[in-house]
Amino acid sequence: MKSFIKIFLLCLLPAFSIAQIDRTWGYVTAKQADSLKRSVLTEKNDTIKMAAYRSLGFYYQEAIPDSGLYFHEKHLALAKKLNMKLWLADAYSQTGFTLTFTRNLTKAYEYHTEAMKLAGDEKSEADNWRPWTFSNSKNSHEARIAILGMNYQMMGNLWGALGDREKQKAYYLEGAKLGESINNGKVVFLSYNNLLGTFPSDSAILVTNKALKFAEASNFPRISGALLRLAINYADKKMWDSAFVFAQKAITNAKANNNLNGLVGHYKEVSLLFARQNNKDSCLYYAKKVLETAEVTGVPRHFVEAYRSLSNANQLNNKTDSAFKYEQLAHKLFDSLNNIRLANITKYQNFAFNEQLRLKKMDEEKTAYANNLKMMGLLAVLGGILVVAFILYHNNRQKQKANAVLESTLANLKSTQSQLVQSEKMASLGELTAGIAHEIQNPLNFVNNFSEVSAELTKELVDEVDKGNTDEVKAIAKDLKSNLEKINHHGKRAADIVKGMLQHSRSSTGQKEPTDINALCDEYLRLAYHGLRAKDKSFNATMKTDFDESIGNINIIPQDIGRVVLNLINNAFYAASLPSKGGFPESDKIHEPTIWVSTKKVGDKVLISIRDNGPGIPSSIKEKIFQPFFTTKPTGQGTGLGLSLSYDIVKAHGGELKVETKEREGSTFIIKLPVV
Amino acid sequence: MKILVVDDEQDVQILFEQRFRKEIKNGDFVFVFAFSGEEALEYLNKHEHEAVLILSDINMPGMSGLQLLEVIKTKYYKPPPTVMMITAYGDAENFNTAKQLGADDFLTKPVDFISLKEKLKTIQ
Repeated sequence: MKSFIKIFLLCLLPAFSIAQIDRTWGYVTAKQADSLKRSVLTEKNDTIKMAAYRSLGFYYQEAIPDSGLYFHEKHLALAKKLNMKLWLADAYSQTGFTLTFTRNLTKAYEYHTEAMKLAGDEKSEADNWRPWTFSNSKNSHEARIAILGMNYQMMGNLWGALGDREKQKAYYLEGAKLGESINNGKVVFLSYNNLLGTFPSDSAILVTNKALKFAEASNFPRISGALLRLAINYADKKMWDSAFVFAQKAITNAKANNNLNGLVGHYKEVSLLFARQNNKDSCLYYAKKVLETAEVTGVPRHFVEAYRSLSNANQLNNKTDSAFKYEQLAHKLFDSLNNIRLANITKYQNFAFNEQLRLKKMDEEKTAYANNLKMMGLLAVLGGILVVAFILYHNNRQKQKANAVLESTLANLKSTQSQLVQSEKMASLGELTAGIAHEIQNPLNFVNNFSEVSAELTKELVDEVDKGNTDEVKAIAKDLKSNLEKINHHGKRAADIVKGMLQHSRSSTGQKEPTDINALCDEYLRLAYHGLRAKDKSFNATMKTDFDESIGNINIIPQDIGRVVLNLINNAFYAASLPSKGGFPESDKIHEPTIWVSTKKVGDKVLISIRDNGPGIPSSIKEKIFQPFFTTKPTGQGTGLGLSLSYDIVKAHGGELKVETKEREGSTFIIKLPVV
Repeated sequence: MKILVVDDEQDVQILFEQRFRKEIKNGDFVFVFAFSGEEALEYLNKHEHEAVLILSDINMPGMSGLQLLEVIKTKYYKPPPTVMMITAYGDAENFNTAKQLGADDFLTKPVDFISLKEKLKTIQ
């Protein structure tokens, strides 16, 4: 029951909300701090949480800096997460301030620099959540300037901690200017307070009072430092009452604000004030207060102050041993602290120097990088172009080379082809020569014989005229006329054969002309037959022709088609006589080599068939016979070009060359030509 | 004397008729003509023993002069008629074959009609 009531009561406790600290610059009392610590754990809103951590940081930062740092780091983390620029600037600034307390000066410098950047940027003013937290104004510009001014103060503090008083003063003054520009009491107060704390002045009381008025006007609570300085200043003027009043005020104010750091200094100063008055007990009392406070904060520097105060107070009280003991403790601790401090300073100076170098280097690197980038880009583009150009050039050259090779190969092929065609023509002409000789021989014989006999007849004619035998004269004259016609006929016949031979050997003129295909076939049949007879005396074959007289003239290149016909007839003769030479396995079979040459008009086509009764073409080679250089004849007897050329010629005439064959029965080659 | 001339060239007939104009006129020779071997055999079958002398070309389409010679000399006619072969190819092979087959004489084209006349007269 008891615990229930407790919980109930707790629930009734007014929860301290962040809204309530609006007008207190975020500073909170011990009670409020306790309440905040509880509420922050359950708070869902990050923004509220951030503000709460900020206040908690404030509450602890000058009392227990480690705790202050803990809260400010949470405060900073949330500001980063929310990316609220002004709050973030302030968070960096406050965390840096706390870091200065914990003597992490390097990091403090980093944070203040970061705060400087953010608060120095007008764009940060876009963040206008509770700007009065920073400036007592709803204007986010004023908030930003206030944060910047405060950061100058803190930067001054940092330089003070580093022992650079020049920079410390410069930052304080700059901060004061900024504070005045927006009439911000807190900033102005802190600036003057800080200045006076570091740089004593004759008009210190006046300035301090002025500063305190700024603080009062802006409701800034942390004024114990200024109050204490007034106390010291009054003491200097031997105005002891005023001095102790302000000293008391300072202590009260520091306590109220949990400013233990300030309190350590205040107790120390008050102890010294009493020493100056030779008030030994009070001197010792406040010296002990210093130690008590130091024991609360646990800050080593505070212990140094405490030991010194105690040493001083004991000296005053003639307790030399204790005085010496504390002096020793102070000395020892101070030395160790100083070492840390020196180390920190060296570290920092190195850092600062390095930082400067780094920034400079970064700038240079940036420029160099940009230049390099440009250069690299340029080089890359140039390189790319070069590569492309080279590839194109190379390809072009390769192509040209390949083209040259191809062209020369083509030229070679063409010349070889024409040579082959020519040699095939000459070869077939050679085969024809004997036949042609025979063919010419016959008409020439007739020419000679008829002219001789005509000469004899002329003599007889004269005799008969002398006899006056008119009938006989007439008969002789008639014979003479007939003979002359025969001479003329056979002369023409011989001339035609020579003409045909010349046409055969001549390169094709490519001129199509109306040609009597029957006469052409007949002529070449005779030429082929006599050609073969001339070569092989034992050769003989039966030739049968069947010409379709209705064909008339068809438009062809006569010497080309003649060559085809001759070739096919020659092949037919060759094939037809094969069985007699053992072409058929049954050697006893009586075989009469026969070839059939026929023409026939079918529709708009003319068929020229050349058939033999040879062994036929085996199906295994049937597909190959139209290929160039394919021959079944013994080596040296055939070029293997005959059918290939024939095929091409017929094709060029828009016709077809086909073969029908049956093994042991013979083959028929059919030339199909269009009539038109 | 009846002489059978076998040649595929038809103008041979006119030529012979003119060359032997006087002889024909005088009735010394009677010429008959066949334009192929087959035609010659046909004639010989019909008019057995009429032709005393046969003058045959060798190179003819179909039955060649040599084939004709062989048939005449070996198969059908006894006593066989005198056969004189005429060819444009005066080569040894044709000559030898003709001789083997029993040809009585061998002439080459162009025919020398003067010497032919002499030969015919001796046979007569």
